[in-house]
Amino acid sequence: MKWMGLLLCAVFAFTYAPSARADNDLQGNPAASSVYGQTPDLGTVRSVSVGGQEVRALPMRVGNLDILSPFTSSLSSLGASASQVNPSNLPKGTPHSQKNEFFQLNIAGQRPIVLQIGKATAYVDGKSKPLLAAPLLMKGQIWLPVFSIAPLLGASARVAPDGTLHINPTVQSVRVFKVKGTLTVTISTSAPIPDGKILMGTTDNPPKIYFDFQGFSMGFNANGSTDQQTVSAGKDEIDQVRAGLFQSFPDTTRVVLDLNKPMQASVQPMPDKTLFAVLLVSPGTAAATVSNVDNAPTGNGSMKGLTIVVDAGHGGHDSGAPGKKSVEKNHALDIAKRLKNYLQNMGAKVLMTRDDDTFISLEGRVSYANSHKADIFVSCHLNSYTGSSAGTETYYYTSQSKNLAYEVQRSLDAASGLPNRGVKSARFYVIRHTSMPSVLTESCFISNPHEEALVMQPSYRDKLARGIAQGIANYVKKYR
Amino acid sequence: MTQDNSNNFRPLPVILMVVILAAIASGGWWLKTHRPTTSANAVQINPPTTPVETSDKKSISLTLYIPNDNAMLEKHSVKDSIGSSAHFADLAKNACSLLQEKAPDNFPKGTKLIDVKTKPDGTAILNFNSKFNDSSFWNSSALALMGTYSIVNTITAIPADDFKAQQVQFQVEGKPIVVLGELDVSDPLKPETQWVQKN
Repeated sequence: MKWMGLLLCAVFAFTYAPSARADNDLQGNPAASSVYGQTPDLGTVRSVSVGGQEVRALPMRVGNLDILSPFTSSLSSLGASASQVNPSNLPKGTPHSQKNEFFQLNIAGQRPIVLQIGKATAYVDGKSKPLLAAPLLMKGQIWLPVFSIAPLLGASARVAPDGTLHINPTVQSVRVFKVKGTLTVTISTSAPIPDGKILMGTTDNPPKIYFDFQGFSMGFNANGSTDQQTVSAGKDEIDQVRAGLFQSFPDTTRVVLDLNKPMQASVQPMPDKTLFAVLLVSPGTAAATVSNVDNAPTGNGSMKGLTIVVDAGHGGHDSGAPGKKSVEKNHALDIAKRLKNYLQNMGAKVLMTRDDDTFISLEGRVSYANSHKADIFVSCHLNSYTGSSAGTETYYYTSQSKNLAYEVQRSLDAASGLPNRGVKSARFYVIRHTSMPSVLTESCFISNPHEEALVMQPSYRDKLARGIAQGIANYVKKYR
Repeated sequence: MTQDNSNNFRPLPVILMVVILAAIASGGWWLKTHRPTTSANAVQINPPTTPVETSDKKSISLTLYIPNDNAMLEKHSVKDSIGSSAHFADLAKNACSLLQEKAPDNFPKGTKLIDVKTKPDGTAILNFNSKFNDSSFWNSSALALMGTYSIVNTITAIPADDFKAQQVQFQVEGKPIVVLGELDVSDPLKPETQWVQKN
């Protein structure tokens, strides 16, 4: 009996708390943790692996505080990128002569992390954070302090027994909620999940559903800990949600749904690849088709009876602003189409000034909106200026449009994660001559390589469209 | 008795000789110091005159609103050398030239301000050549706003003696224009502070 009990415990530990085995190894090695401010044991490090890919350059030991490695070119596997600093993100009082010492790490949907060569401080949203070591510039490459930077990216940095320093994206959070009466679970990660990197399994007794995120370490604000933990309280048929590091080096994080009764999971396609969503239904029941589970703007049905004209800027021979790899008119149309879908889902009647690559004059756009007696007019644009100009802004002209502009900009800013250039009044033709509340959005600067790279991602354009839709929904709720 | 006169001293001729020599010497000195000469070492004594300006130009400070890399306008002061009075039209032309010189990427190549007119209501009418209205150039909001308001803010800040501009009307080849890019410029534009960089 005693042996049976031990065996059951061992089976449980392997299946649902595998991290407990790894914890013992990790806890004995401070360098295995990415705990902010801890001094890792640097002596054991022989190589660096980012997102499962080994970085050829050797790590450099610096002052026994952190390990520096030139892994900026591998940041994409952590859902980040490095670029020259946007002037608006520079710390206050920075002399112009020092501008070139700064650069920034960009993470979709978040404020950039601003760093300075030779200074052990990071600036995030105007606040400074100490680093264990300063980034360095050597032979034209930026060397980043791994243990300092990883937590800022939501990533994990741990040293394997073979001396490889693994920098991995992490599983960040789990939400349990209901959409139209259907139990829904969303799991967010710090970087986009590559196709085929999630495995789903089920057991009926006890009833559980689990998901293995291959190549992802533990996040959950665990400060580098790999202990299994309850990451979400239950709801209805879900008793609780736990997570643990199922496998180390390479890492796999397992998320387990403890159920009160057997359920069937239906994975939902998500435009945002950092989000994984499943619907839970009783076995034999067809899963409801709910798209964009977590992403749908609130306020469904609140726009019934409203006519909204969505105007995709430019078109046809008028390409709009050029980027290095794309042009404004195509992104504007895509965002406008996505915006249309969101607004329609909220009950609005949506008309588009163009739904293909056609040139429409400014007068034609205004005439279309006025003749259809639209209640709201939204013109979708992307801005362009220099490579370093950045951010979102929303324009209005008439006083009746001001509240709409502020609501749209607030939501667009939150969705984009870009610098907020605010709301401004300007005499753009389409918002000056339309007779209803009208705004013109500039979702980003296509001339900025980082922002162009973002807007070239469909998931990011969806975020922008969702932000604009949410702003309109907030305006309707508050002011109409 | 015989009288020997050979050793007799006669002072009068000597005195006369000294006086004549002194007169000759002092006369030469007077001529030397009072006669006009072109010699390099000569001291020129000008006749007293009333003061006059050596040049008919003066300097005036212009405030230029120059776009920065972040699509915001920065104020810069420059000294402009002008005529004896600060005529608005001259200063406006100089200001536009300076803007084009310091921020050339903000205006279509070949843009030229042809003439400047004013109206009693404070409107400055800037008449550009046809290059200014190149629709393919004004392809973004930021560019249209920076190009337009760098001019409007600069022109309305000109401290001219004969005119103070309150707003700016754009023309091309003497005709009004409706839009620059997507910006409606069909009627005069007033200066804007929302695009001016705050320090």
